Amino acid sequence: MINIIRSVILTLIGLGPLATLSIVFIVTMIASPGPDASISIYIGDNLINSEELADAGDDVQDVINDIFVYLSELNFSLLSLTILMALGWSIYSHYLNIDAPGKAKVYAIHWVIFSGIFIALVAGILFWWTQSNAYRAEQYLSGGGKTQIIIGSLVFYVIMYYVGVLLGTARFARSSVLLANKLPGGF
Amino acid sequence: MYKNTLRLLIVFIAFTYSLVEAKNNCMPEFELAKPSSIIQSTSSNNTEKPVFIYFDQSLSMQGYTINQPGQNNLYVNVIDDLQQIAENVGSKTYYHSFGSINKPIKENKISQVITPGFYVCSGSSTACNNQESKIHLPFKDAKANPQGTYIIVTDLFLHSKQLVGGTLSQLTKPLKSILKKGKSVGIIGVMSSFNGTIFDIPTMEGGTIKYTEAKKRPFYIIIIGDQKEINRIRKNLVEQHFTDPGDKYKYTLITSTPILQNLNNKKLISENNISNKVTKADNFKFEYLKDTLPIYKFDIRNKSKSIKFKIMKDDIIVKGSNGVSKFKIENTLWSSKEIKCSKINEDDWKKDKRVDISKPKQNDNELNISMFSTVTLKEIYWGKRYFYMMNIYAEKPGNASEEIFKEWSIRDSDAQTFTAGNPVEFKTLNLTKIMKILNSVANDEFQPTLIATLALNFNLLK
Repeated sequence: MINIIRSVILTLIGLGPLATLSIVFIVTMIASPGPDASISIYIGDNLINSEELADAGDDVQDVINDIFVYLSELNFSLLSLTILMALGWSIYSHYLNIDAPGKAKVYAIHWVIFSGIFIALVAGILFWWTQSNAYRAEQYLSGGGKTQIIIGSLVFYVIMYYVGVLLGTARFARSSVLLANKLPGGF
Repeated sequence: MYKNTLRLLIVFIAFTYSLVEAKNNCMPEFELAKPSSIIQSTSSNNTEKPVFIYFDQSLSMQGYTINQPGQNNLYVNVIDDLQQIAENVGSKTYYHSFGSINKPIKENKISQVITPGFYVCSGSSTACNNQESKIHLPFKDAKANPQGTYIIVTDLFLHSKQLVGGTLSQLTKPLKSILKKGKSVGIIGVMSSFNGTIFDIPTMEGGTIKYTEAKKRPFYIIIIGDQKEINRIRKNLVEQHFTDPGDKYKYTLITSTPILQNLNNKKLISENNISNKVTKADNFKFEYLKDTLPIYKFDIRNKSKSIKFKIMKDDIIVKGSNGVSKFKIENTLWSSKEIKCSKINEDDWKKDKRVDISKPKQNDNELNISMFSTVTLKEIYWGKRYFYMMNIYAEKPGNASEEIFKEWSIRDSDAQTFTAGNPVEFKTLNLTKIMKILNSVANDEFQPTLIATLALNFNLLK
């Protein structure tokens, strides 16, 4: 049990830096930065289809609050999923039946499948938010903006997950996680 | 004190009511397009108007008066009756003949119009050029006295040389003036038996030939006057003479105002004009704003395809006229992020910059407008309330009459070959050209006309 708690703590440590960034971003979005804030300018210039908006008689300021809410909710979902999946793997790794030297490598396939499910879930969420018409703000995004959101979020949350599981995987199962066995013994 | 309080209360109630009404109206501020004036000259008392009948006295007309065995002589019957009809239409009827000159016909000679003798020239051979018909002369008279109704009976056999330059302008100038005054020109072509000589058929070499073998040939009754009278005369003739399935006749109305009416004026736009998609949609409501602007209110999904709006052509286009070849749509789209009417402020309405939103299409009987076919409902943001206002204009007149009379027309260049084929049914020289000329004069006078204005007020759902 102590080992599991240790794994959870290590996972949270691994997730920490990027999760903090994500939380800061979510809080910023909820706080609705002003039109002159860099983030507002960036969103207006790079994510929103301002030409189409102008055709409709709107401008960026008319829709930016919708975008803030949209991005905060999207990142909240992705962050929650990443934390849950990273913690899930770290705890699960303690229950892998590794009873002989070298057997941990066999469980790499478990990690690959688990990670594949995570990536698929992240991609699914991103697809749902950017390609379906489930959210009103989605219509204001440009094609390039959507690509940025999809690729950026995917890379960001996969790295966050990876760092989390890298540190949090049970010591005896580290060989199943890519490069985890290269960690110093203190971890 | 009491009176002042009461007055204040009334003002307050009126003010509150007008505010509530504005909110309930749920629409941006806009100006309604002014209906174009549809000038259709109509006189209050038709019976006080004179009627002038002009008979083409050229020798080629003589063949209509002589019966052709086995063929129905409509000329004699129609002309006989035309005099009767004319006398019913106006207060007094004046008869004239025209050929190389225009002269009145004495009352005792009117009955001779349907006899061959009327077309025989009794003067000297130089003075007696009775193969020419100067059709512009009656038009000139009509221009000088536009109050009357003018009926011209002719074979409309005009050479190309009569349809160019100065001779042409002698015809087009008075016609322009007539059309400008809101008058129209009705042309009834009747295929009748013919037993005589057709003179002046042009040849390739530049000369002319005669033809005597024709058994049938069309003649034309041209009526210049108000549309109402033209229709009356036409109706009478059709009902009395063209009842046999074998009777061939054609009709067209040359007018600069082929538009019958503006549909808003008589509240002729209803729920039936728009597709079921709208009338069966959630929260559908149809109403007239200030008795003028029909508004369709509804909720619709953004996945829906275009909204069809249909107008019957009989409701907007004068029957028998050239019709309209091109319709134009002027539209404006506003959107509001706030969808509840009670919460929408004037500033919430944003005007869309796109103007090419809907497309008109027409067939023989209907004008169909695909609303939101160019800018589709998918291309506008859902989750908003939209107010879409559309003005439908008749932009360009049609040329239906050219098509109607095409089969009875022969060009100068083809006349000799056609005659060489010994045709039984002889065609009219340059008829299509004449129609084209008349149409182009009418089209010059045509003004784009507002047919209808309507609005959609809808909530676009995802």
